[in-house]
Amino acid sequence: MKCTVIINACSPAFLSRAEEAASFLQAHRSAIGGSKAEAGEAIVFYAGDNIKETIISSLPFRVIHLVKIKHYQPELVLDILTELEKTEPADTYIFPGDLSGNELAVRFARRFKGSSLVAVEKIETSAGKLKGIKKVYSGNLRGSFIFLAKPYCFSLAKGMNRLNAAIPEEQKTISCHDYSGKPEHPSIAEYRETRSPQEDEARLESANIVLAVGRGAGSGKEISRLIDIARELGAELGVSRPVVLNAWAPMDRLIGASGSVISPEICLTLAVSGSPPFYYGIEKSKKIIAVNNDDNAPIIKAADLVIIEDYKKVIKALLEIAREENDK
Amino acid sequence: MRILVTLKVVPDLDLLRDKKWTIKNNVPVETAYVKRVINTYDESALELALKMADRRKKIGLETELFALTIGESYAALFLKKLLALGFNQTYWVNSDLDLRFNPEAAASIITSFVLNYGPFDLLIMGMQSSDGDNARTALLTTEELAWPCITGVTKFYSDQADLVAVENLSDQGSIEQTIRTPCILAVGNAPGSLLRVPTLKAIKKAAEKDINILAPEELNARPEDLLLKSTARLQALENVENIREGIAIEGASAEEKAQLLYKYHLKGWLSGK
Repeated sequence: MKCTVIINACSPAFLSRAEEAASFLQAHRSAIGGSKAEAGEAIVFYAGDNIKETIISSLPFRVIHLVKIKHYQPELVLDILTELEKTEPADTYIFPGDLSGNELAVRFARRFKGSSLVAVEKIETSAGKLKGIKKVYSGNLRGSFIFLAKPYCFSLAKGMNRLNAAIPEEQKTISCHDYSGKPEHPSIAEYRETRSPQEDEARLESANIVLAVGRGAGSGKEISRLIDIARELGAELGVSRPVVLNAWAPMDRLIGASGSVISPEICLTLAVSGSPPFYYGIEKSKKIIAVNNDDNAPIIKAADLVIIEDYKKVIKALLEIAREENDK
Repeated sequence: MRILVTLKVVPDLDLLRDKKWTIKNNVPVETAYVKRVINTYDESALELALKMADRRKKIGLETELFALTIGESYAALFLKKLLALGFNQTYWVNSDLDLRFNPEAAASIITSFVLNYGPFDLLIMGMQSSDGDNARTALLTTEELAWPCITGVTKFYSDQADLVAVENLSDQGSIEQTIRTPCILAVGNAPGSLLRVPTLKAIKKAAEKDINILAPEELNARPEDLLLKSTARLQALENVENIREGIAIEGASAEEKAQLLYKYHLKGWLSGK
């Protein structure tokens, strides 16, 4: 059984995504059914030579196929991947749980007449069949799916464990392919990356304390005030999807199934109802503390500690206490 | 310009967040009784299409808006609302097949509709629906049609023939691109995309308009073939256990509760500077 991991190293978070994929591979080696040498090849798309050495030294895979591209344009990448794999496709392809991973998993599987799943948490074999297990119904239930056709292509759920085990470079086999001169896909008339973002997103994902704010905050002005308070308290501020859809906060601060999945020591939710896609983003927190004046809000039963109160009063009091403690 | 938007009518799962679900024949029983809403990403897709039509109208360009949904009878109510909001034609593929975990079948019906009822310049879809959580329908449709696709779309407009300017979020950051039509735009978390509400006058006017009802067979989609299209078959469903206790911090006032929270749980974590 051959298993290949596909990594988008044009993403600033590629190393974390690669470590998640490597950890998944290690944990599911028996289900994937390969020896160490066979399992764990990686095809890595990258742009710009400055990142090449980092990829070679840091990526936790023994066989790495480096593919240089001009920039990560999905149609182009998909065409290149199809070309690279058409003669000898692997049995299983693992894609990271990011936007590019989800897209490639589904489209690549369709091109190779295989089967695909998005956001898989684990895999198992049963009666010779490979099963993918993932959340469904907005995270309320978990479903087991049998893959019906090879190649089995799936992306991982967000926020999986990471493998942080360095492999010495001399034990790695590296091959290089240069597609940087390949012309733009004919459908694209103009292409411009405008913001290399995700500073807020990266800070959210590494924060020890996160204030998570929901629609109940009521306005963009209030969100700005809470960003200042979070900063003063040494916390990061994240928001739920309705806050982003109302344009009260930028997308980088979104927590949830379609935003950041966080795992801080403490997540303090303020005026958050606790819809399943949002909860997906905070459920890996060590401790969840919910402040909400609605004791029927779903978050109340899904938190470790709850305070039924107007969050504005609680956060004002907390700020005063923290300032007093700081002055001591 | 002819624009097709697809939408899925789904149970409002937010209402079931803290329930333990009963599962029968791999279908959760409760959702049948829950109120229906337009899937949130599809709602954004519809609103962004309306915004695009508004912009084009201001500069004297015509836009024809079409909406397509597959599935249960609740759909009709929502399609009437779309007619009231300015959609020119709405189509309901009346099928009682359970396609929740069969995005391949959904993509095949949508593809057939595009080929038979087109031409369309743009196909706008939500990235994911809340019940199946498949996140695959738009991507499979793109492969079926062999059209280019942009995912994570947050904004788009078309002021020139055959070209659409699109903003989207990717793993690399924000991207602005101009893409040639026809193409598929899969809408993600788009700020300012909550679906507008029609006026009473528009609702009354829309009541007189008809929804186009299609049987899957009219799109060459035979139920027995559709069921075979799935490439990853659902075998079992189970509840996700909640391990948190929900212990309430009691006190006479918000200040007292905050004191207790700080003393026993937050001291040492908050900086206050």
